[in-house]
Amino acid sequence: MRYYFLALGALVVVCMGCAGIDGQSVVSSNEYVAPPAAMLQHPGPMVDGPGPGVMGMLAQPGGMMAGPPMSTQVKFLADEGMSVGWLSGSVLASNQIIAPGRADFPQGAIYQLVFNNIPGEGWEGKSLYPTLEVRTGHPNTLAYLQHNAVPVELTEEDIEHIRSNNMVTKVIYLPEPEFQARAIAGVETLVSTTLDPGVDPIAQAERMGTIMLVLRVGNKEMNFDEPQLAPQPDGTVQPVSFTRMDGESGQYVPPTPIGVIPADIQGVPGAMIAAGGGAPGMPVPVSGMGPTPVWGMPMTATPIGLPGPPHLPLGGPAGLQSHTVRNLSDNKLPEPVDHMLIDVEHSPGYSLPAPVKHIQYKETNPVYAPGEVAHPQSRAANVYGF
Amino acid sequence: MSLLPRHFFCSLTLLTAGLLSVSSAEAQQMYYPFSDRVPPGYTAEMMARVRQDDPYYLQPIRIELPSEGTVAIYSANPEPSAVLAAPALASVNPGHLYRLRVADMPELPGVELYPSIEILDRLHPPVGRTLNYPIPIVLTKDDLEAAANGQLVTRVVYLEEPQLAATQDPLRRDIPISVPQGANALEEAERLGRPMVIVRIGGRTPTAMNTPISFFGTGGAVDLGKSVPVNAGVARLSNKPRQQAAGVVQRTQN
Repeated sequence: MRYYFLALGALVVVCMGCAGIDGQSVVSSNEYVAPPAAMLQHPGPMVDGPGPGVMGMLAQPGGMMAGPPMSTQVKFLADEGMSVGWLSGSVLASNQIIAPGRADFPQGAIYQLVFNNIPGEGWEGKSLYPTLEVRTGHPNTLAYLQHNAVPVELTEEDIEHIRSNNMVTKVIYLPEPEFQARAIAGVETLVSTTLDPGVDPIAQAERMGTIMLVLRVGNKEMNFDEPQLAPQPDGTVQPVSFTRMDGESGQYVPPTPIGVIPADIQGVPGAMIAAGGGAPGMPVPVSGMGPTPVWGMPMTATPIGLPGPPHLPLGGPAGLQSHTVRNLSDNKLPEPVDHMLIDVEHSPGYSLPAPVKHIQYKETNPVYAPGEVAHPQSRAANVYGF
Repeated sequence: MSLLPRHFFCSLTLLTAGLLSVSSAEAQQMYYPFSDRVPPGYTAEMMARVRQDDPYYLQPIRIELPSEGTVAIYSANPEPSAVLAAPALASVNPGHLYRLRVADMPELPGVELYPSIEILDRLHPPVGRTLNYPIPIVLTKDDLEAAANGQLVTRVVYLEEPQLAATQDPLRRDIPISVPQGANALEEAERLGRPMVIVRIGGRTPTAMNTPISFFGTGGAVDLGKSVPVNAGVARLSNKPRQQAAGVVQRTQN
């Protein structure tokens, strides 16, 4: 009897598999965890598009993957009359749009804005100079960004905080599906002045969704009538003289960034069409050669060329000799199919009678004696000859 | 027989029943690789590669507005390929993404929206009767109002499974079926039939500056057939409505 229960218990464990105590910690055998949308776009690591042996690369003439939207449309909401301008190179373009109005900003960059005609008492003739951080589109937000304008609203409460020397940070994000029930106008906005002290609105928004815009507003005044030090693309700082343009005079220029968002520079290089190379006359993409980006650009100096932690204590000599990154994720990725078997069946199946393989033909001719056959009158001439 | 306890068979029977239930659950679970949440145009591109259909085939579509209005069709160009009066009939390439502009609607005066349509699949009508079977794309007033208020409405138009299809026109029945926020509308449409078109309606409009070309689609062909553009100086005398049986799965993304 003891062996019976032991065998029965072992059979139950083998058949039912291991389950977590809470019933959720272990994925059962009939559940699958899909990779994120960004991973679903790429059939293989560092490879874009389907592989050459699986699906045709030129399935359609002129077909192309819809690339990410290079710009985010921002809809500025405020009381009637407030105008929005921006810095375009060395041009301060004011009054480009009047709220509520909308403008497109290329993604992955920070822009210098200027708000004029601010509603409320005491703001006559004054301007605000916020910065707008436009995040690069994420697969979770691409569909929304391609079809919707992201609202940015400057409320009376925000203006009062700015008047009180507070900095207002507004983070506009698209909530994850589990948080979208709380969204009202499509997106959700976290404002730094409404959070508890010490809570970072950006970190909070990243936990609940994907950030699309970050607006930072303070009461700092900027004097664009005199040359100012401005960062240059090569990393240096040079004095720049600014000119002015006014939308009320019909002068419109597009916004240009004052900086890029470091967080949007991905540590993993972008995918590329690897299957398209190698054909006669076509160059093979090689890491670090030509337009192909360098893979594994070290963030800090490590002897093996991979991103590593900074040397501690800071300023000390480099002493790192080994840097190991281990991926301990319990991934269950299936092996590729080596032999495909397809069983097809239609019901009812074809059903035909057996083919004829024997024919027996027998003919019996009657024999009549003269006078036994009576012919009709009409054929009598043929028989009797008259 | 007397050596085995009686409840052994009972336990084995229960265990077998449990295994069968697990097997049936595994049979019902199927991994569906596509999603309506991936970037617009991706699903159509992948399905075109998998199917290997004729890339030059032009699938008729029929775009309906609540009542009247104009429908402009864009294809990777800020200039529309055609501006038609609703209901608009045109033929487009499966595997491509197109941008529309719907305007001049009496229900929504002054509202101009730019939905996109992603052509996933094609129909196989009788030879010579292609134009008699367009894919209906119905933009309802509720959808357009939601989009104008900043929401993203995603609709998946699918060809009903013949064994599940009803006799009435599904577009006039109680569906479209709304799926929850986290659900995959494309997978639900696949369960009910064959997904044909993904329609996404939002409130973004192109501006004069910094609007990328990709906003206007992926560059598929547009054939007007017998449709007459508006302001062409030609009057259309007959506008016989004809609907193709199709269903819609809808999700409004907040």
